[in-house]
Amino acid sequence: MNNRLASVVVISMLVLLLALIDRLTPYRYDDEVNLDERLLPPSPKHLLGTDSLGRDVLTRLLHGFRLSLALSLLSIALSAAVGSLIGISSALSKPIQIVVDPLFSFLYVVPSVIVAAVIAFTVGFGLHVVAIAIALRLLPVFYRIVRTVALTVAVQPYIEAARAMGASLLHIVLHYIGREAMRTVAVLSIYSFPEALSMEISLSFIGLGVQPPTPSIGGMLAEGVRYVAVAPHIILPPAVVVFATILVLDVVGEEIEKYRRERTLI
Amino acid sequence: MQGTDSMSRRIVAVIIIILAMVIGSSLYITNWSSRLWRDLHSAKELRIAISTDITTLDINYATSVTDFEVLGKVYESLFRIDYDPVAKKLTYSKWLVEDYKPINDTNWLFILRSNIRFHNGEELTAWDVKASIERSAAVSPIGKMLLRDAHGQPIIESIIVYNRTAFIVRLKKPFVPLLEHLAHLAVAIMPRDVAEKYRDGRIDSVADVVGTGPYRLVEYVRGQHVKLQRFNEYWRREPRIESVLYMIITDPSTRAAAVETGQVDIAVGIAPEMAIRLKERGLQIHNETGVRFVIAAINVQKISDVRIRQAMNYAVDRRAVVYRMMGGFAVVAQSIVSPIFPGHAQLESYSYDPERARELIEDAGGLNRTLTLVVSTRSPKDVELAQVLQSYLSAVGIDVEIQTMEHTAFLKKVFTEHDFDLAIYGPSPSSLYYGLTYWRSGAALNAPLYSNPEVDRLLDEAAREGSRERQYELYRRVQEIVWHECPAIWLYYENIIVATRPGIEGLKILPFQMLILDGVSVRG
Repeated sequence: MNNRLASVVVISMLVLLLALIDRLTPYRYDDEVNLDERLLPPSPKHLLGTDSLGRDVLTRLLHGFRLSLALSLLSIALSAAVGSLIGISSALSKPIQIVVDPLFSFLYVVPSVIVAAVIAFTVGFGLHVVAIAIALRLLPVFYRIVRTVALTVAVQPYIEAARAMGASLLHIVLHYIGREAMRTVAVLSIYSFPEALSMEISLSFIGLGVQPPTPSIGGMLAEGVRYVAVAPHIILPPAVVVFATILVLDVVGEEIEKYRRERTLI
Repeated sequence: MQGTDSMSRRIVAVIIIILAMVIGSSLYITNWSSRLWRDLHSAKELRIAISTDITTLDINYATSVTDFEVLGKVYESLFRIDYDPVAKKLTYSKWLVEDYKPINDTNWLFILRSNIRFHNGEELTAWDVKASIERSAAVSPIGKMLLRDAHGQPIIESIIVYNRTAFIVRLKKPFVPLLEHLAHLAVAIMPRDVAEKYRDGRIDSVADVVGTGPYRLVEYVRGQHVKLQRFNEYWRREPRIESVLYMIITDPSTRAAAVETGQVDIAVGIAPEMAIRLKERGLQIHNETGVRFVIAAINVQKISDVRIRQAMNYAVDRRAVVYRMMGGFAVVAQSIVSPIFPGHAQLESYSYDPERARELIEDAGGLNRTLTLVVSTRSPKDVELAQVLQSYLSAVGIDVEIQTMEHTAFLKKVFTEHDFDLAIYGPSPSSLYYGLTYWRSGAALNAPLYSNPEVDRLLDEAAREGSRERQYELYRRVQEIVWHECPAIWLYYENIIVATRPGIEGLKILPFQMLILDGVSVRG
């Protein structure tokens, strides 16, 4: 119970913080480069110091973090929606399954960095590349799980009863299969969050993701590595933030899973 | 009872003391002997941390700085590029050739030194030279540029061998920079049978990496290290170092840490911030003006108004970039090639004048679109520079969007597709003439698609011009024209920064980031 309360508090505080960034710091993440103030250590003026181009690390960290979270959310939503749709269709229709199954198995084994690189070289660079690459990576996971749930539900006696009472296929999908699938998708989404986040970070780290000067956690880590010996204040904050976020998300995921078990019987 | 108790306690105490002494002294001896072993060891072997793996074992296919650094210890060319640290200029001196003489405009007679041996024991002959130059002109990406003219035609018509040591190079038309181009390691000399064996393929076996240089290549482990061994029959004096181990350490911080802890003796490619720190810790920092000229090329097809291009040059505070971002480890550009080349013209620098930049843009009718600035992720400093430029340009009203990309994709986009407005890169030519030909119409490395018939004509004339003075005058005019027409934002010449641990003496550094190990001695 304590954990559950703590999760709610932490998440709401985080949302509040990220919503109010612009009010909280006097700087902007794309502030003009100021070469006279580069690599300054933490001080009252810049609470976490400045980066290699003289910009406020705290401001960039908050913006980068918000962007990373938003990108992860977006790609999870994308893959959850598409994955569920295809998962349910594939459970109900053999031909769809025959086409989609090997395709998703293939997608599942290709490393996301390669997927991202291929997209980047064909479509171009930017945020959409990251979102699509992460979504493609998560898609097979959502597809598999939703399909399994749909298959299990489809053979339940109450579905047979509904069909006998004249319910249409659409009605069955929406009211019985869909509802059951949604519960699983909710938990899976939370569990996918750390993966999506770390993927976004690694793509930005190697320079395939968010383009400068827009800050991202991965980009800040990459910069921090270069200056770790002379200015460790650049790498520490993003590293701590990543660590803490993934820890919190894990606890939250566990709580939601517990909550779900308490509410459902199957 | 009490007596035995205190007795046994005393015995235990004595045992503990003896044990402590034995362990302590043995630890001391091990430590001392390992230090002794290390001293002996390091006197024999020089360990150098390099930033990238070599891309090939075949010097004719070499393109990267690391390729030439490593294979340049194994191979030699007819001439040698050297550096005069006092005058801060490059020099080109006779190396494998004893003497040479132009017979007329198109025929050059060369006499080789006698008693030079390859690593396989064979003597160097003019036939080896002929085969090597022909292979380089045919297959080497750099050799093709050095030994062909602007239209892709070979500059050498034929090489006529007279005897073991004498040969004539017959040119299709006069080409004065020939000697400087023959000094490049891409025109390295290898045995004739190796050159002929690999006429169509790449040298891929360590056994066939045979040159006349001071070291033999004995071991190559991809991604790990390259090991060179002293060549005892080297034609000059015997090298002092018995073996050289190049360790591939790609991360700059790790490389700096490796030299700081004594894991390696020399580390190349030290970042400016690290250089300051290492110096404070008592390491020796070698810092020389390099040939790498960092520019932001401006696609002149897309930005055809010269006033806009000049405005961009006035918009950037180069001094701030050099002294703040580069920590002073660079030189503000004053021409379109590095000042270390004889013939470099000291031109008037573009001052930092945002007001003038805004006026020029206004005169040109403004620039109503966002420009794309592409930069390769291979050099993190370049990505940093991109953001600095973006900031300066936005201050004068030019919006720039940065696109970072992986190096191969970058090369394709910039040099093949020319699909960019601005692109950051650093050409590193080996001779002044070569550096100026980047700006010739249709040249392979002319990414901005700059074209000026006057420049082309002057370059043709310079290639024919026998008088050094007159040639420098032509070079100067080319530099002035290109400088003022701004097919790039001219930025800075990057310094070469190499760190050595205390005890390494006599290291010389060429501005191409090549180490000259001839005089190196190791102490401690």
